[in-house]
Amino acid sequence: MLADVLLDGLGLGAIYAFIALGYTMVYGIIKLINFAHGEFFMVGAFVGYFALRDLGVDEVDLPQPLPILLAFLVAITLAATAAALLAVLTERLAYRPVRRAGRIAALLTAVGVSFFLQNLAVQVWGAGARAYPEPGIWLYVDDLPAKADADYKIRERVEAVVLKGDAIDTARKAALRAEGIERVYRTPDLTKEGKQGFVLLALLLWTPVLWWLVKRTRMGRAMRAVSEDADAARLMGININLIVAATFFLGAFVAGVGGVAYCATYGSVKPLTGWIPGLKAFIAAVIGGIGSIPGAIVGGLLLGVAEFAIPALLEQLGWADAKAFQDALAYVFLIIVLLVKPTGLLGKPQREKV
Amino acid sequence: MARLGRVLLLLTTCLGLLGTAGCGDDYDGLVIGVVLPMTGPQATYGEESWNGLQLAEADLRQAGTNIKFKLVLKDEKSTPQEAQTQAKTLMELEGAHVLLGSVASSNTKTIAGAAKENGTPCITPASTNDNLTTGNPWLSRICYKDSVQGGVLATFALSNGWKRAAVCVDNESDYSRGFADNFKGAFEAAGGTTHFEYFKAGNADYSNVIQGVADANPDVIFISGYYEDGGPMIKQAKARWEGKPVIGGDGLDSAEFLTLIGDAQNPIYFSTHFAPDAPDEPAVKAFAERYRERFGKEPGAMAALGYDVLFVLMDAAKRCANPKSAAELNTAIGATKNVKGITGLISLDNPDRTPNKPLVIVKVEGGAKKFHSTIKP
Repeated sequence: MLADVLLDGLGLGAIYAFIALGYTMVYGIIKLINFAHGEFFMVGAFVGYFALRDLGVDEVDLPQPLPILLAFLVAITLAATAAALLAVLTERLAYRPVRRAGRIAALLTAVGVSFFLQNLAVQVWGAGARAYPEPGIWLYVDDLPAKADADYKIRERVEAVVLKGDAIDTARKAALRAEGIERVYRTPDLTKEGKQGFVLLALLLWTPVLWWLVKRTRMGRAMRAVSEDADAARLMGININLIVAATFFLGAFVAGVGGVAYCATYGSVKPLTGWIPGLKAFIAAVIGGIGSIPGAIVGGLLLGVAEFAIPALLEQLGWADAKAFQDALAYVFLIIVLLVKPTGLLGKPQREKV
Repeated sequence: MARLGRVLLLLTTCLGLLGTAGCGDDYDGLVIGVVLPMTGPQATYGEESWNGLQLAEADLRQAGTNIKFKLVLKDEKSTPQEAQTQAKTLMELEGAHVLLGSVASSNTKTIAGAAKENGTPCITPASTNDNLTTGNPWLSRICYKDSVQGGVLATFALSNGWKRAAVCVDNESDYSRGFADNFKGAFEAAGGTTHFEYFKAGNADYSNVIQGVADANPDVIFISGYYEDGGPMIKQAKARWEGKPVIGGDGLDSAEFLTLIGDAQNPIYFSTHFAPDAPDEPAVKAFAERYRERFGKEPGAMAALGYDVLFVLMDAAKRCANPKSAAELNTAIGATKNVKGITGLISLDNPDRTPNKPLVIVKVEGGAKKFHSTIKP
């Protein structure tokens, strides 16, 4: 019970963290709450969808788990790059022209871009939810184990070739070949819990990389300088436009990774996929202290766990319908955190700029 | 470059305006205003309904009709506010004599409100919420209502010997709540017990509701909601629901539902308005074939309802001396008797102006929908 709640919460929280990173980095540099960030996440998820569906990496003859890992790797790389390029383009066309027009103008532009991208996605990809493809493996009939331990099927879902538990003896193999079937397709028995484990692992691997980029590289130092004082940074010879573009690129790249992870874990993608996770991730960034990278991670994980743990706890205490208010409880949690610590858990107290 | 961005923006805005511009001033036929969700989360339903309407229009024109008519489509963007705005636009600017729409009950409610205010007849093809037609004589519908669907589904579950049901509900949706409450009423009255679990549409993680259902250990799981939630929920549940039967309503009736459920081993049944493979129904079969030919897709329930709604309207218009008279047309719609539609025999001559049609139960088998049975309410 407790383990279930923790895994569900951490798995979802890791996704929030992936998106929150982008919010927090962009906010840290140009004080813009980029409401279109959830849409970068969604576009990444869609690009991953097409990559997993059409690239046919699983047809490459590699030893067993490799084709699946390779398929995911290719899909995630393409998705993240596409999301990052879209973010850079958006920054160039929509945000840069209004950057000096004040924060409200920039905020409204971001909301506009969000709606624009959502509706563009509806026009291009249709509004309905699509099943997210699961990469599988092609096996030659000869290679089938004597006893089937999984579902094998023809790719196009025409019919199941071998049902679960059916013994596959020589006669059966011959019968399959007589039907003209040489290879059968196997989707892996990846459970949701397994995928959530992968997402957590990915987050653990990514965080130090981002931290290193921001704290230990020249570009990171320039980012921090722009964040501290943009005009002074410009006087020091830092190309602000380049640094802002790089920040958008990085933030959306991570969101693209999150997009594929999220949709592969939960099984579907649609143009509104980015809406609620984007909103929740924004909350996570605020809980953690917007502008702070460790804060985004802590906030994301905490919000994810809180979403599952609070209703479960209240249910144990006797409120049978607590789960009906899962989201409301998460927001109440946010309000309490902000009442106790207005700058977020790891946020620095804000200095008035004169 | 900044300028280019602005020019592009301006250009898209202009194009958008051009697209909506239209004039209904000098048209002397019957103007049929159609309000459907063509964008937003319900766009698949809107698209299907519109396809059905177009097919009906083509068939009517081919058969030849004395009444001159045209369809004017407006997009309600899947929101109740926009639905009302578009209904008003149609009545005030496009000169619509009658309105058709929409799909979601919450959106039809605002359209029907505007129609009542204006005194314009309105028919909804697919909104099932019980209360829509009460107190609004200007609204009729050609689909069954939720209490009927809930009752039929309860009958179906009990007839299979399933006595304890876990019900998955989205508290924020009129459809989901109304449907679940109606099911509960009928199911418990006939000796069953229910256990409610809650999910929220759009939250892609259904762990809470899945675990709650598993803990309740029911005979049958009833998902009261749309396919976008029901599909992934069944897929995520996988082992945790141990192959228990799952039932649902017309909200699950979508081609994508079949892929969204993945490799689920649960037997799945849902009630809906029509099944393209219903036996002994040549008209249904012919409709399905023409639909596939024209749109390259399998027709869903919304397509069939969209098709039927135009025939019901034109049948009423034929019985009018002057179909453009709102009062006369509305009375004629309310007097509709035994119009043979794709979704069954439609009679609206009752105080609810709601047909009493049999429902179709569909079984999901090997990644396809199969006709299972029809149940009379």
